[in-house]
Amino acid sequence: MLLELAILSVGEVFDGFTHDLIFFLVIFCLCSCHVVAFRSYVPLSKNVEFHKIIAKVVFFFAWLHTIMHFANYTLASRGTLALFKKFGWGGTTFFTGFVILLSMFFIYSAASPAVKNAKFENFFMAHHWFILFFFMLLLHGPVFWCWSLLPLSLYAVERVLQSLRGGRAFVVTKVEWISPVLAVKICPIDKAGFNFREGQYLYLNCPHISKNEWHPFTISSARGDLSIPGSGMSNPLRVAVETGEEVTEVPRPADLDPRQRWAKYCPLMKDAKTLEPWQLLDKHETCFHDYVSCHIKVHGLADPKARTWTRKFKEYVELMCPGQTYPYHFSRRDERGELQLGRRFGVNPSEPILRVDGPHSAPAEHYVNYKTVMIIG
Amino acid sequence: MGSGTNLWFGSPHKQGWVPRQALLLATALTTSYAFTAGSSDEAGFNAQAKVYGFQERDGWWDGYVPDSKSTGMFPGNYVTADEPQPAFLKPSPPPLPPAFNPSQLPLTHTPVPPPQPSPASSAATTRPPVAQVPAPSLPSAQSANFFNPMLKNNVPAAAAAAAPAAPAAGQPTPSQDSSNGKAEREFKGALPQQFAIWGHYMALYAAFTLFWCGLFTVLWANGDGWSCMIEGEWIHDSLIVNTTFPDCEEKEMVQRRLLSSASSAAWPLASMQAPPRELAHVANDDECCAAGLGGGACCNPWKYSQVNLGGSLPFGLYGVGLSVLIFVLEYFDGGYGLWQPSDSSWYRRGISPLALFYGAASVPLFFAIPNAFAGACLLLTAICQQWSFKRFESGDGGRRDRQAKAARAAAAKAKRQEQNTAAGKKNLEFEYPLDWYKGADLAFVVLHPIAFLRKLHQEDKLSTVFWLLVYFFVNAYLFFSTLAKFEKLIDDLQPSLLDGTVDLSVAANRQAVRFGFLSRVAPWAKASGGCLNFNCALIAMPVTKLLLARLNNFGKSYSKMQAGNSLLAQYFGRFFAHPFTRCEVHTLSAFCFMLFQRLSFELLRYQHDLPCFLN
Repeated sequence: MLLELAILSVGEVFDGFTHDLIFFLVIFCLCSCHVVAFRSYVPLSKNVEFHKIIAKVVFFFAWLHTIMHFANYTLASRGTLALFKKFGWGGTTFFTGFVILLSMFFIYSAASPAVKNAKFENFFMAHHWFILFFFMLLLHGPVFWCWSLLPLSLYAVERVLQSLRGGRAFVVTKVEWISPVLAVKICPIDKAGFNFREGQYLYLNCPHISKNEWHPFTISSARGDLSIPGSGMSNPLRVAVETGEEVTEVPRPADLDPRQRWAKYCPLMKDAKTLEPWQLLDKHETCFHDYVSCHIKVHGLADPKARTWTRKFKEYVELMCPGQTYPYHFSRRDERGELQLGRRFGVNPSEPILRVDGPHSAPAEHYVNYKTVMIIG
Repeated sequence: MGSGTNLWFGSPHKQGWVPRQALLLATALTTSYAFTAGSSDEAGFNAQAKVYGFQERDGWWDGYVPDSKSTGMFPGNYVTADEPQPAFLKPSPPPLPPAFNPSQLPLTHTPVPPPQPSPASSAATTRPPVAQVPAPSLPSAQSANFFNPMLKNNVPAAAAAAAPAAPAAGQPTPSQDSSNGKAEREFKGALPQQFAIWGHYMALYAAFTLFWCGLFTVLWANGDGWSCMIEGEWIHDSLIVNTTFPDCEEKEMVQRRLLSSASSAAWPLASMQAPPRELAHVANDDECCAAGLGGGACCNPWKYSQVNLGGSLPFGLYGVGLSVLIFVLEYFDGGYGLWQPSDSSWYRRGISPLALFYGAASVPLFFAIPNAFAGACLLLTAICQQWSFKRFESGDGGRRDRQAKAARAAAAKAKRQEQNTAAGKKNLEFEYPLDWYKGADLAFVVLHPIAFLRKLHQEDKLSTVFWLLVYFFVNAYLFFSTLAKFEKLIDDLQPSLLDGTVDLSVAANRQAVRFGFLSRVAPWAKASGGCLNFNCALIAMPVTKLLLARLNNFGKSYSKMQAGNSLLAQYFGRFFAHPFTRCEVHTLSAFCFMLFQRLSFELLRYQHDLPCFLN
């Protein structure tokens, strides 16, 4: 910049070509030495903070607008009444403004962190007065539809997509407890529809705890952990369906009749030589364990009551496995009565254990672009 | 049957005398899910069944299932303790079927089979009732259980008798105040404060609303003016100058005439002021006016043109006063908005005193139009706060925690100062008046702006600050441009309205003559509206994850450029990635610049002697 200023100050001295050449050199070097990604210039990860700032500004201007209109009405009521018959579909601006302020009353009073932490549903349900808020705003402001056409339609599409994504079927296969972290392994029934990359995140929703509470968690598994058909990657981890233990193939005994088929597996923790032949697992009793994992840090462990979502989720998992010890392993019987890995529905047979919205891209997925990656945790 | 405990429990198949203390230990439970007994010492049950637990160990209840008439173990997380009820609503023992004599067969919490007259029970009527033997440990254990829904976390009653019940870690401790010997209030509700906190914020918001609504109820007590028929045209009073005609059938008459252009400076003042009070004495007879005034002017504000704004002085003052009172009542640390001790009679009845007050106080608000909105808010607040009492929420809104934290901080500070004094150091702790000032060192920003920018860059806050500034200036531009636009509109219309040169063929201008034009504050409302358009549209953008995901992958990074297959990256990527290039090309170009600058000065000096192609 200083260079450019200096150049401009003597700009009349030398011709444009020299100026352009030097300036190109400086700028090109600068550009190539720095990242030119959009996210490095716009702090996308601070979206919620920005949302809150805008909300505060909206609160300020909404009340300024109301107070100034009231003051104007005090000073020039007949002129205001005559003028405002034209706006807002026949003088309904007072009514629509009233409804907007009422919805703001619900939204803002429940948006405080104290209310949100005390009971999330209060915050969440009260925030949905935004539907009435925007509907009335479209009637209230004569030009607001021009402003809101793009953002509101984008948001509507986003909500529809979220509900569609959240409806996909997932099974929970295994839950491990590495204090204070709950490692949850889930698996989509339709693996092709869940094409994720490392560093992306997903939203988890446990309908048993709260139907509308979605929490973001980073996907902690790699792409190969979920063998997606056609992607050329496969997960070689084979487990016993019934116990969830990892198994290994038992080598074929040398003295076995060559006509005899042999596909026997043995749990990794046991020695195949000490087991009787009938104790070995057949191939159909084992399966590949494909999964997407999330490591959920459980908060509020010291509290005698489960108040946080993570703690409630831990208790819910324990509820489904009474008397067992971690790691919990989930299996189900399919319609043919065969044992399958993973369980979709929880204690209430109409509620899935987990609903998943994702994967969503995050700045962390660009870690491969950097030579140095620092992991703090 | 003996079920692993040191107490004996009566089986329902058999009737006999059992110690009452033992029977009361059974906890009524409701099953949440079905449980299938895995082994012979477990008891299975269906969902939503009533079972009774005797003792809990390691997350398992030892209990009795009436449906299957079996005793055994079942997992503790499959059952929930029944809703806690206030002691006077759920007396102990609860009434039994009339066939039983409660004083003689106090089989209260354990299930009882249908009464069968037997020699044992008839013989029992003559025996002295065991139940009347007072058990010293009983009341305390019982009352502790009544308000604690998490009964399985409670210590068993036998242990509770030996030692006072240990309070839950997350809840305020009911400790004994040693200074005055007065016991502190208890906060052992069925639920922590959830709706109560919302109700508190609702009350604060309602008070804010009520303040402004009350203010405008006061201001709207009188209308802003009226219009007169002068020479066949309706003229607003702000465009008329006062002339009093004292006599028209013994009534005072007021006539106004169009202002001349000479006195137009008085216009804004006239529009800002309330109408003069003598207007109340204006004649109310049209014929009188028409006859009395040769000019043909007639004016009857009360009959034709006065606007009823729906305000009221007393109701407005009531609203403003009430809003101040609510702020006092809901004051975070000293007020009663978040104060729900579970040992008060209000709590036991499930009635919120504040909600009663708010509900009653909101009724008069509905008698004036601007206040009615605040009244609706206050009524909703009352409903929310009452609902929190109905759910038996209890707590102090974190007041004790905050006090304890402040006390700890004060103690730590005193200790530091003590240490400093002991070490012979001065106490140099400066307390900033406001919290937010701690982070930003204003002197640093002013004196070293470049260094401050560098610091922001190093902390990765530069782009945040930049975009916040952009956002601020967009808002400022929208606000002030709209403000200027509408002020100009008013400024342009005013003189022509006043000197009578206004184009009356325009409908809006005719309206302005008849009803008066908007006041000077209208542009401010318009300007806020302009900013609201922008902000309300923008507020949906940061929460649209779809958009964020797209933007997150938008653009190229430097290393991607190296790895990518674009022509530029292929041939020059590695060259520019080299550290030498990174530093030295800058130096080189700076050197080039110096060279060219020097050369150009030389050229300038000798330009008259240069060949024409260099000139």
